[in-house]
Amino acid sequence: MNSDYRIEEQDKIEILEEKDVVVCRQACRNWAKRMNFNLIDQTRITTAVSELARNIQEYAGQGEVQIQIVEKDMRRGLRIIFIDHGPGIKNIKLAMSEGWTSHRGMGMGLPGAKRLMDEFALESEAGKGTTVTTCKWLPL
Amino acid sequence: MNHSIIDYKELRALISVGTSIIQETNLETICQRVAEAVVKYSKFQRSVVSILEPDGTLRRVGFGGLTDEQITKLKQMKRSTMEEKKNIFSDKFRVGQSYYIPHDQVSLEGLKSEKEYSPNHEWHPDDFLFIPLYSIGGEIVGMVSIDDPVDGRRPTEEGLLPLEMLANQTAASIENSRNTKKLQEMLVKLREQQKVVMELSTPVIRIWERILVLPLIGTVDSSRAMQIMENILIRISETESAVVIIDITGVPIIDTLVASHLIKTVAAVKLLGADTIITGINPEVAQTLVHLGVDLKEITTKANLSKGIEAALDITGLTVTSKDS
Repeated sequence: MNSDYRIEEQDKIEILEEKDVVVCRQACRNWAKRMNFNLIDQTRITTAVSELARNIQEYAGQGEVQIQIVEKDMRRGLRIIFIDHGPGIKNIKLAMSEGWTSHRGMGMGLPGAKRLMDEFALESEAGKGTTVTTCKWLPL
Repeated sequence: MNHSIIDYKELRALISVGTSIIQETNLETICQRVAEAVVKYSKFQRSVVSILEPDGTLRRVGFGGLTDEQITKLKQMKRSTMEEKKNIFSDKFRVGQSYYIPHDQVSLEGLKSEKEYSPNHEWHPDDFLFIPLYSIGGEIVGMVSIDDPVDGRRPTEEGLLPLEMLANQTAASIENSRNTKKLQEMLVKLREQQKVVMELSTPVIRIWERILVLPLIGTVDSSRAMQIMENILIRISETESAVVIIDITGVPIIDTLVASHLIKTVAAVKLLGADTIITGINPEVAQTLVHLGVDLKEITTKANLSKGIEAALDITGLTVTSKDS
């Protein structure tokens, strides 16, 4: 799926401790602002990043977030990829279901983040880590 | 002539010392190792490395080829200032990057008349030789004073080259060490300020009998959320309040973590017999919360702080009336 995306610009942020989650979502908000996403979309993106970056910190301890401005089929979008090498998710279907939590959260992080973004792909292997690829497109 | 040719063994040894001190962050260690290296590898048998302090004095820090007694004495001596040394750093004493002042040109009042000298002349025990330590920006950060050449001859430009190279690396190391220290101090300060900001930004204000307001500003993380909840609960029991208004206008993002903390806080407040009103949810946050699937049905919310205060007055059985009526 990577092949049809053209990356215009990219950066990455390491998630090592809780405050990096804030740094990361702040950075993503700035990218969204720069791309002229409207305020509601900016808030959606920032909130989704907050959920997913926090998942990295909470479950894997550390990982990284890649931020890309991409182009595909004449549309521009902000693609954000969350990568960790933590314990991975054993049951993706369960993790994606509403109200399920393995930790102290509300159990809405993953399905909530999915609803906030336009694209959402979760790959995970138990013991190897998790990669969540998300994208938000600018309106045509 | 032998003494005017660079001694490659000396050069190599001094370069390796220079490379090793660049990673050192302790100023004292840097100066001491340089002073010892000068004595060990060059023809000079005594050396003192001084650092220019912010008050303009030169502090003697590294010593080579001196007895403990001499070192103690030197340390107790009044520090000289850069101002006093100004006469020394004159072009007529310049040899390469260093300054050589023959004994007959120095007096207490200052410096005597110029006199040509030949490098073949003998070194006099009262002669002075300094290598200034220049920072990358060209400022003097200290100097190396060297004395007592083993061959008893005056210095030459070529002969001093290896020592000058070491001096440059010493200066860079000193600068490096100072910058590292400054950075560390700034980091500590920043952490302290972060703490202060955190504490400052969670005031629970009593605006009327039995009504509290907590204006939340900034990022809410786990530790701060905990502190906020604690603050609220303590203040409620202190003031015997019936209503707490939490205004979240200043919170940029409400994600599930913040939302769950809010819900927990509301539940804890309820256990104390008080009500919570949440105000200041802006349209973007409202939309996002719905998308996230966060359910705030159990929580009383009002559009803004003044509507929240109205509701709180209502709960406590108070009304606001105009003076005229």
